[in-house]
Amino acid sequence: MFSHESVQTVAEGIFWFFVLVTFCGAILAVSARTLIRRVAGLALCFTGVAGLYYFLSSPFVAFMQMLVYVGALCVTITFAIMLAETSDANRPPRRHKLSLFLGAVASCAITAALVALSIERLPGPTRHLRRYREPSSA
Amino acid sequence: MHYASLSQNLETYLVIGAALFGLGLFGMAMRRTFIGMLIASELILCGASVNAYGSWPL
Repeated sequence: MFSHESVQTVAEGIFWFFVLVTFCGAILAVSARTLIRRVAGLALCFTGVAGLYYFLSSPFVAFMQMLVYVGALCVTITFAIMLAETSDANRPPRRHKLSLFLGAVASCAITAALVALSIERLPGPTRHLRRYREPSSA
Repeated sequence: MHYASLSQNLETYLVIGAALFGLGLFGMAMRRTFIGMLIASELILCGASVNAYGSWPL
């Protein structure tokens, strides 16, 4: 009933769901208008990354990620925002379209350079991750 | 490239880490409040962590 291929496909679907959650949280964290929404996006991003750590065969790190980043860091930042009292009157003005565009271009250029470096420098075409080894083949 | 097994490749996680790094860098460049820059720096650290755990046996 559950063949290896179907389980692999479902696992792949869950992986892409967590990637979507991560990027939605990250985009919310950099482009929301109020600070509370940015922190909420950051918490969502950390939850997605914790799900990604499961696919890197480290569930303990996923647990520690949820505990430390979401449970301690985001709560601390929320308390800092609550105590800082950023009122709407003295909020910094909206940046010009040109500086936004230049910042986006610069970060895209750096990201593209990192991606080009990371795909090029690996030995061989693909490099498979280490999975759980069965006891018979250890 | 087999799209059905992208979660098993290493390059996927490096691309995810690079994208998180780029988004955090963009958030730091926007520079609206100090806590906003702190949030973006946490994004950068997260991207670095995903890169590190993806290539851990290296």
